[in-house]
Amino acid sequence: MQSGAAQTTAEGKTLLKIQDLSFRYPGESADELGILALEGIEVDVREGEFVSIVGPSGCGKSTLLSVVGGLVSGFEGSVSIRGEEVRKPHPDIGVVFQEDSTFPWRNALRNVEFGLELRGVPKEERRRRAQEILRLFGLEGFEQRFPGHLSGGMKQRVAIARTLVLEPEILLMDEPFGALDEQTRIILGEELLRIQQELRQTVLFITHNIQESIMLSDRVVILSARPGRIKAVMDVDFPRPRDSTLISSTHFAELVGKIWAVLRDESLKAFGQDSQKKEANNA
Amino acid sequence: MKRRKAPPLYLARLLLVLTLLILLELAIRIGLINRFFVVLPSELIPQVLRDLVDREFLTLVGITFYETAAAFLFASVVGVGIGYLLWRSRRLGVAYEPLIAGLFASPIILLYPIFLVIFGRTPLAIIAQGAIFGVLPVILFTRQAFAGVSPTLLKVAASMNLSTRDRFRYILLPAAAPTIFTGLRLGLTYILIGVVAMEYIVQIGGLGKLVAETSLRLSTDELYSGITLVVAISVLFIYLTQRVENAVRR
Repeated sequence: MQSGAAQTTAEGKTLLKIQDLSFRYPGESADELGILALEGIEVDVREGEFVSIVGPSGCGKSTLLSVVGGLVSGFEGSVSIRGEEVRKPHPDIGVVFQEDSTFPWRNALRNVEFGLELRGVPKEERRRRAQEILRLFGLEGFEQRFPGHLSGGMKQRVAIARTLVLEPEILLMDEPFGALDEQTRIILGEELLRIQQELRQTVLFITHNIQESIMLSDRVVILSARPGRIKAVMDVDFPRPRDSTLISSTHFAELVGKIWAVLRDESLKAFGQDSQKKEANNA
Repeated sequence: MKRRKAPPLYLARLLLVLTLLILLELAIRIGLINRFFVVLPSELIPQVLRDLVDREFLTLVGITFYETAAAFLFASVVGVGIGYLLWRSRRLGVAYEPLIAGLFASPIILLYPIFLVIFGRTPLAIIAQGAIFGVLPVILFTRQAFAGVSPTLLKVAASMNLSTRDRFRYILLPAAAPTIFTGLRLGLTYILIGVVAMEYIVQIGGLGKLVAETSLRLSTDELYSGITLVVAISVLFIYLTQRVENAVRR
């Protein structure tokens, strides 16, 4: 385990570079300082790597993802992809959100085709590519179904497929399985592993679930309670391809224990921040 | 896994209407309903068919249709526009929504003398009355519709770097459409009531006037023929809005 910045350790070109990133939410008035959400974040993500960010609730995980996705501005430090600064949503970055983000007025196939349609890909080609990726996600036969007739897990697969079909260099995922039940979560995690290995997709994955972060990642970055700073970085050395049977190994349990040891204090701190806030609100 | 094809929906609808007409026919024939007040469906249908080839009658249908269409066009364009503005500018929305809601709940139909004074006894007075009547629910529902669009969908639009135009066309509009079109259908209902009631009261224009005259003459079959065609106009407009809604939600 190394502590401090999450630096590149092995070979492989750095794809995403986050340098000395801090973010403060705007205050209620001009002369009032807002809440400091992130401070001094440094993460390098190499090509084909799967990096998870875990941290206690309210530590700024999702904010970090919004910054990298170019969805918020006004941060300090820099985010770059292949050396190119990210200041607004970048076509090489795809984002998947926690909540259901499928378009209820489009069937599964046309949901996946959406981005291709806007990029002007001809109908036949986009249909073929969408069908291909839906097959990869095990959604063959569900192409014509509308989201209203799909389960939560299936909807999330459609949303991930809709992002992946655009072949982003890096996939940002903000607790994509957070709204799902435990079993669906494990199954989808396994599916994501398989697909990530097949496409050699680079992923930056936000989660509060320790098991999930170990099962999926090459590296786990642990954030502190607010303001989010990098508390520790842990390499996950399970060989690939992996599957969910990892969960029962002793080494897995060891890793969970190690991460929890770091996270425990921070979670307690976050818990304290929360109750303080509630008390202040009640007062 | 092929399911047996269900019979088309319109057959089910037709069946219901026919059943009700037959029940009505029976009720009148056995004297449950007075023949003097309600026309026999078996006499109504030939009457409608006769009227539909009668030039004078068709002119009346045309006038009501034109007044409804004009008022509806105004209510749709202006209502959706204002509703969108009230959503875009939170301050305007918070300031004016209660006023519009209050106005919507008030009996605007009683304002008809004002429109008569401004526009005279012309179709324009009827269109104005109908449009004002119908625009209010359209505004309210449109604002509601845009306010209800899931923030996650807007985040998707942002993450895909959609232009303002594409965001509106491909995300906002289809997401808001069901509620906007509920407002439009409600607006249409109010417009039809406004138009026909005004024709009835001031005795100008189309089918409302015909209904007023024939009821005074106690000419039941003509009266019901007029009412049937008002219903037909309503059905036609509802059908057209449905088509537009489907086109928007593609």
